[in-house]
Amino acid sequence: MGRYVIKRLLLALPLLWFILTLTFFLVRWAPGKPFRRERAIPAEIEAHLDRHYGLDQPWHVQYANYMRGLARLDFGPSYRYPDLTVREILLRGVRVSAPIGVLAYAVALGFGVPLGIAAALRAESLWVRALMGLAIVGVSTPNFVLGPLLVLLFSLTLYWVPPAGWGEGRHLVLPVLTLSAAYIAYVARLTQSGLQRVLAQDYVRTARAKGVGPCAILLRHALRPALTPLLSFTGPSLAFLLAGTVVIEEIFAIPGLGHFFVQAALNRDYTLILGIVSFTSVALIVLNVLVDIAIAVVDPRVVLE
Amino acid sequence: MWWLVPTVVGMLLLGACGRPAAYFGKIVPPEGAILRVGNGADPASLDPHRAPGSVEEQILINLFEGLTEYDPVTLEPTPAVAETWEMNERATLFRFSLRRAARWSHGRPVTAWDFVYSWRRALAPETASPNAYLLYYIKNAEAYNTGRVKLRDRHTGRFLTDSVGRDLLLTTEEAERLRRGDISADVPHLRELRSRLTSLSWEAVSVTAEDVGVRALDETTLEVELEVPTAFFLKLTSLGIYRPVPREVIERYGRAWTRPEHIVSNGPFRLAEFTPGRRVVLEKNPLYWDAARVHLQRVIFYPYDDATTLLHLYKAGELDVLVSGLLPPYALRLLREKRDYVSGPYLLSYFLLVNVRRPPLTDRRVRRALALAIDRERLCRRVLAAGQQPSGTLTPSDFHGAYPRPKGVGYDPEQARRLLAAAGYPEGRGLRLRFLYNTGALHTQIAEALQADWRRVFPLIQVELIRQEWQVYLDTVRRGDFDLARRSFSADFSDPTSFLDSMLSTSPNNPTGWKNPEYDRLVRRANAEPDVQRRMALLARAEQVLLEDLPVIPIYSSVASFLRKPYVQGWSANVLDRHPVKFVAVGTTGASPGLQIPRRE
Repeated sequence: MGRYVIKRLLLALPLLWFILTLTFFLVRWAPGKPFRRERAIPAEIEAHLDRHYGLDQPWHVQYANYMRGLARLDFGPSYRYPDLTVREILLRGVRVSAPIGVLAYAVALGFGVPLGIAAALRAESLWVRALMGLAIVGVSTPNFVLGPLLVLLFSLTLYWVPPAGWGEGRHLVLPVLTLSAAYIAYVARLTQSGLQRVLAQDYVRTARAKGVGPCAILLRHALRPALTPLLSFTGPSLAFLLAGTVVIEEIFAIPGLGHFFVQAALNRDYTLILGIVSFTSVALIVLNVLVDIAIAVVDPRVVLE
Repeated sequence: MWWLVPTVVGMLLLGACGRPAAYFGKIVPPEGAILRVGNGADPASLDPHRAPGSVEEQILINLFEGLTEYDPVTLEPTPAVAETWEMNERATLFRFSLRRAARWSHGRPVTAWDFVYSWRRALAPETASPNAYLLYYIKNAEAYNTGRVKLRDRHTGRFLTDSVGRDLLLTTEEAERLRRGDISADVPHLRELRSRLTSLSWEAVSVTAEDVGVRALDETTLEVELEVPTAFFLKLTSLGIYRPVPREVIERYGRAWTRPEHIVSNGPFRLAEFTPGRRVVLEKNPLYWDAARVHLQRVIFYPYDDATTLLHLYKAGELDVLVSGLLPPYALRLLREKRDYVSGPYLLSYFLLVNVRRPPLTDRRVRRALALAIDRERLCRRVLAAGQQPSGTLTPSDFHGAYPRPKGVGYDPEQARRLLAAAGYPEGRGLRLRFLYNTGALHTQIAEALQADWRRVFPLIQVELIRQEWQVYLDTVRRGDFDLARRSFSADFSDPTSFLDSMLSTSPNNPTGWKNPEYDRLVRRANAEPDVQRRMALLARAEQVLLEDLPVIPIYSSVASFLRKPYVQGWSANVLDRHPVKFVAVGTTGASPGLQIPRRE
């Protein structure tokens, strides 16, 4: 398995290089420049700024410099925040986005998996169908609608939790709820269909014929293979959640990666854009590898090579 | 389009809570002497020399104290690090006596040397300060910052000057071409210069940091020499870029000196925390010379920029005050009725740039016709609704009466029709214009209102609205690729020159292609005029020239409008929207016993 992991990661390097190169030139190709404001500054001062950040060099020189820095994990200074480096902003952003993402996904699993199991076993129960319906409403309501509605209810009518902000536990409630709502239905449906597929298989019938109880069948025989589709779904989902969700972070004023990504794009903060793109790409690649490993662990029929 | 949804939901939120109530939301003062400010965006930098705009300025002015400080209402300079000052009659030499009690937050006294170091640093090309141009009034500041050279006559030792007595500045390349005699016809100013250089014995002189006109005569005496008489210099000394920075800390930590663990400041507050995207926390500086008069223990600036989110936070009682310009337009009608809504004049001008290089806008009659067809009164009352004032001039309405503002262009559809017909476009036939603006609910509303106005007066006109993302729009305007473009400008300091400078032929803010030597001469003369009244009269004459030509079409002057909880005192509307929190108190401190704090509605 070790060889498999190394191979996958090595194969990812050219992909990463391609993504970064494309982004590097796309952001420069977009109209506008860093440091532009409504009140224009004298040309000489703009020239100082460009020189200070090496933006007066031709693109290929800038590109070579950037790639050299990247090899040392130096993402350069941010243009939007001259006192901070991109690395610092990335670290701060991840420390905010990751807990929300992980928590929201945990909530989605906590509700979605039992719901999916119930739906697979008791598909005709009214309760299960009602809850499933609710989950579908959750996934179909865009988060920029659900978020403000939750704010209206819990923050501006009941005054229970703050409507936005970051730093204390109470700030987590609404964003995590909003974010997980979209995933509960996915998780439940994936669990349900996976379980239904496994339960229809011969070995389950054999186990049942041998007199194994329904709980034991579920826990010992059916659940593990049934979760494979869910695991494959988890990799990219978690990567996107870790990289910060733009809309949620804007609505709830959360200083996560998504927030910085939007700001960076609006301000043409080239280095910060590239930093966040590289982080997201790496997260996606690594999580996919991890998921492959997890699937191999869960399902012994899968062999990694 | 997704922004529409929060707007609609926001409107629903307001509607749901729209019972007639005196105040908007919860009114419970925070525990202790804390002020929580919705500041609109993240500060880019807390280095006074690197900070680009008003978001940073609002925080900086509480960390660093300059020679003078803004009066929180009138913005007039009040003594701060400088206890007293005097100037010569021509307003070219200022001498400041510094307070002996002024201290940095690590204990060292603030001296005149700190100011010398700071201003030189702000001007140093390596610092790349975006606001360095605000120091150009100081002798040799511009030459040092831009690396230009001056021309000196070897015989007389005199520098060559322009018509108002400023030393002429040339790029090194220009000076070299002048020396070689390599002057092509496309650079008339060099040809003219050459004719003025009567003797051949002149030399190009470059300028260093030591030549900048700021000197420490002793620990507590600072002398500033200006380029030309500058009657309004004391309005500048409160600006962020004029505030001192601690040399030893900067030299030790470099770019990281503004981190909370390193930073040293001399103002009423010091930095406790800066978490980008989350908040900036200031705490009272116990070593500040006037600490006894500072009420607040902590001030927290929140960088949130989404208007609806800010409104939620304010309503839920998580914010005590918002800076101006953050209220969502859809909510204004409701908020205006509340007692926590504050508004007042604000030096921000909204206008259109006209590309005078492009026919038919080369024709002054066409420009005037377009300007006369705009019903500004109706726009301000019906569309904007925050109390904006219709304006026929580039300068906004409020300079405390010191400026004899010209009458400006009004609303006269009859004359507009006549002018356009005379220019060859009866009823607007054959007139096609591209109107450029940037994404934003307000700008869209205004663009559509103007389009409707023009159609009403000239039924056959075709005005195409072009909306671009902010940076794309800035780029397009700079390239001059527009017929008409919207623009708003706020003042750096409360003086008409802050607006009129932008239309000088050399200004980077003038992409209209309009160059008028008479205008340039009047503005330059005014800015070298020591007598205040004469100066204002000259500026008014310059603006008159501008308004006859109309390379800009004025629309309105804005208002500062914000929300403020009733327990906050000392935070008032003023024309620059600057609020030194040194003078702010929250009700629970007992600072003003007469204040009655209403309980929750």
